[in-house]
Amino acid sequence: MKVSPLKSIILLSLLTLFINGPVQAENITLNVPHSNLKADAEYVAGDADKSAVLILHGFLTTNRFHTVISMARALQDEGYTTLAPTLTLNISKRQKAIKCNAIHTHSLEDDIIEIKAWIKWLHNKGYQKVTLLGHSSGSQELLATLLTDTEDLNINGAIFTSLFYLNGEELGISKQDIESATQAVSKGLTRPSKYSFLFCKNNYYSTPNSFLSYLKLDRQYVTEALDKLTIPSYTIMGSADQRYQSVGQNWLEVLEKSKTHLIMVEGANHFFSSEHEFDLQDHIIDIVNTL
Amino acid sequence: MRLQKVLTQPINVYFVTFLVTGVFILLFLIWSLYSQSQNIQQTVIEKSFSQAQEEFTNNFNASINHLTLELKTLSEWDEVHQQLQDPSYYFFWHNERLKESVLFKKNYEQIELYNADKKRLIPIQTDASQTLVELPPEIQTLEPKVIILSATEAHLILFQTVLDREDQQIIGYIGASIDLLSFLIQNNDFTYVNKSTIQFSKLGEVSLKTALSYIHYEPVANQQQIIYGA
Repeated sequence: MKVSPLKSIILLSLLTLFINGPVQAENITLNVPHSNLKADAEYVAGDADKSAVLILHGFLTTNRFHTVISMARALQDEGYTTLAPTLTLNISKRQKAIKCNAIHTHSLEDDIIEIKAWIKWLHNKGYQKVTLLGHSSGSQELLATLLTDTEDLNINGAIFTSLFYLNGEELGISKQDIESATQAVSKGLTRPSKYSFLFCKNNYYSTPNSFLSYLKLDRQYVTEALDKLTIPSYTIMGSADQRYQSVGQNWLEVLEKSKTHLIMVEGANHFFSSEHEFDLQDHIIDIVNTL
Repeated sequence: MRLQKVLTQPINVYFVTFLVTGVFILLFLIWSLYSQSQNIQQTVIEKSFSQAQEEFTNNFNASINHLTLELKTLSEWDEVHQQLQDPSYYFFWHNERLKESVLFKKNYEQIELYNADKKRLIPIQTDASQTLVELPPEIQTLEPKVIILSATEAHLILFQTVLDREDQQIIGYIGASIDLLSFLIQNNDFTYVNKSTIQFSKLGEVSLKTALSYIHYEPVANQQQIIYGA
């Protein structure tokens, strides 16, 4: 039987689709421990013999953030299982990025509880190895999570991208804000106020407890935490990240001296946009292949 | 012979006959033109009213659909779910955050959240000078209504359910009061309706379904009407 070239291509395409199957993304809902909140995550099952990668988004965003999607797609293409949760930030099944002037009642401790619940979910799903991958403040939060009791969760490594810190005058955090928030907490006041926090300049509308909880992640905390890790860690930074303007280029030297393996992507910004997206993907795949 | 005698008349007779006939024809033509112009004028007026009515009805219905969609979007907003779940900071959210949000449109006079029992989250005492129609402390009916206070002031009251994202159960409601006349004028282009003539012809509370019949308006004066003095 003679088959025309066009028919051969169509048959081959259908066969490839049948063997590999389309990537099936599943929306998973999790009851957050110690609360009545429900959290969502996008789960894509990969090869059973490969590790599962938990990908955490940055400050106030969601798992639909383009850098998160890009990292997840690259891992899925290589057969890795991915789980990309959206932190609730105290909003059940949060769908969208939350604005600076929304009321922020969430805390770092709440976020860590959620992150650990997701790692446990993967663990209970039967994954023997779990890799943590964070972007921006998601990296700091994963780092803080790793300093809690996570030894029984089979975490085989951590990859931090655009890793900085959240507290410091150079970042625009004012002593006055810290003092007023601290005083409010000491008086038992929970009324939200406007603070300056990261890119939210004078419009981060937060309860004092919520605001103060994240300030724990200062420069010293992050550098010391990197050295305390008992699992291998990798930090991928863009050389054109504008945040060096506030934290200083010597931040890279600090990372270089720490126990983390520092990888630089020349010309990349904080989000590894445009062609640097592929550099980021290549580095991540190289790292997970070695873990 | 007799016919010849009849036709043979003095020139004056022919002239008078021609003149009278001409005058009658002229009068007929004038009457005919006047009659036609009256018909055209009547048709233009009827057409203008019909176009104005069609335009207003379409714009009114589109505006209500638009508002319903806006409230639906609001009901899906993370922060509305946040407040219904934990209203500890509702006062601050309602008074500061909500009004800064792009979802709070300029024609909204008041937005309130109600719990699943149809009771306002916190019975805020709204400044009476700012809002003439206060949303109720408890929802009696979800039926949309219009409260007409004067010929040029009416408030549309709408309620929208807020559904749980997982099981689609009702977790609360959004109540909205909208300045109906401003909304209609500012959010629609009117070609056939004279916007300045839109008025309400009845005072009191009417259902949204019947509200259209209590709104009066005139068509714009077009060129034909100006020519014919309508």
